[in-house]
Amino acid sequence: MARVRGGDADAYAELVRRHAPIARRTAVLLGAGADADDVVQEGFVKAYRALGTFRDGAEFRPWLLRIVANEARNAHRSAVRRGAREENAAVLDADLLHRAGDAADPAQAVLLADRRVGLLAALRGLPEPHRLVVTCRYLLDLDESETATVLGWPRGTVKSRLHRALGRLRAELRTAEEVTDA
Amino acid sequence: MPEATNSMEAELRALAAELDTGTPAADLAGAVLLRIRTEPVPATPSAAAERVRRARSWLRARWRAVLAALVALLAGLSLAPPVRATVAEWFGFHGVVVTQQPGPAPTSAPPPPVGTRQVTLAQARVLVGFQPRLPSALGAPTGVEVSADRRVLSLTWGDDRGGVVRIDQFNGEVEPRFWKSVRGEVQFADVRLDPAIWFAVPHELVVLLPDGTHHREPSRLVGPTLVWQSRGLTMRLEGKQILPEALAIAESVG
Repeated sequence: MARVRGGDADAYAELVRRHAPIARRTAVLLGAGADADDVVQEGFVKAYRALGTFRDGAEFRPWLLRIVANEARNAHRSAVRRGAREENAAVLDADLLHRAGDAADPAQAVLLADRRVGLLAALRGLPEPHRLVVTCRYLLDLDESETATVLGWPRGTVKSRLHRALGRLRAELRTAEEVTDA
Repeated sequence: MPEATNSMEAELRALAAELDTGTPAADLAGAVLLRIRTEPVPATPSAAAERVRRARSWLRARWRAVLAALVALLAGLSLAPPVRATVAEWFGFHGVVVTQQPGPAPTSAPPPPVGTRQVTLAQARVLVGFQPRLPSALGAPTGVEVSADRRVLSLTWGDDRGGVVRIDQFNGEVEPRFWKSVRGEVQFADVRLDPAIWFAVPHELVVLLPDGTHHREPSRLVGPTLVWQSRGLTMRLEGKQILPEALAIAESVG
């Protein structure tokens, strides 16, 4: 960070390369859809401009991801406004699942895939704050404190919303199973 | 199925492992560097910036009381406070210095001055030493002017309804030339891949001379302005009231 602030462009390029994969994953999972590359680029440019507000000793990753997450949500909202997709279609779309072709038993693989699709659909159906907290915590594998930074919430809020979100997901999946079994 | 919280967490993690979110664009770092190359080096939060930040949050919490006190004070004195140009924030841009000043923005500005066809484009090219860049969206300019010091090329287009679009072009390597006093928000934008700044509110424009002195003589109030850089030239466009219209012209500059 000292090198970046010293005007070393290569140092920033290094930061970009190191954090590009998680930045892209964040953009896609928060609904940037086809705009993901633009969102990521915009995020890194905005982060550079805002480096003056970055506190020494803080972690760069969650700070960056907060900017990317805001960009992604803006991109998603304007895509919805343009009517490009029906609401929420771009968030956590089932197309994100790459079919695992390595399962030994094809029947087992189909069952598993169905379960994943169901879980994704349940996630999509959550109220936005709940969906966001689960996405950050489990799909992006951020810890609680990083999640709090990315979403700009107090840690207590992260904890309680996560708890409620998991409860809703369980209830949702149970209902879906009962319907299927009936 | 097992009901423990852990199983849902495990399932979500397994789902995460199967989500394919693709790989970042191959030229991402290069594209980012290209866009930030004209930005000032990011500052370490200084003691001064920290004081400004604290003052802002103090104000945010108490603005009603402060405003009431100010109104009372002004009503009592019936006087405007002395105009003081405090540089609160600046953006570096070749040939452009932006300062932000407190106070209300002027609400309107006269249209940009119409240029006369004093020289041909070919003559202008010889005078300023660079190839004039024309926007295909506007066609041939109705006015072509070169500043007395041969640094700034001004192109103007008039339309039937009295509207005027003006584009000034100058070599980006010269010293800061335009000193703008901005009392409102500035907005960052992009002209294709080039960085741009949009001044949405009318502001004063003062030309800064290469020796560092600025002269207010031709200082005039200008309307919304887009400033951007392209291939070594700095360009400023006046005469469009909204950013998308200004961008449409800027992006057609060849």
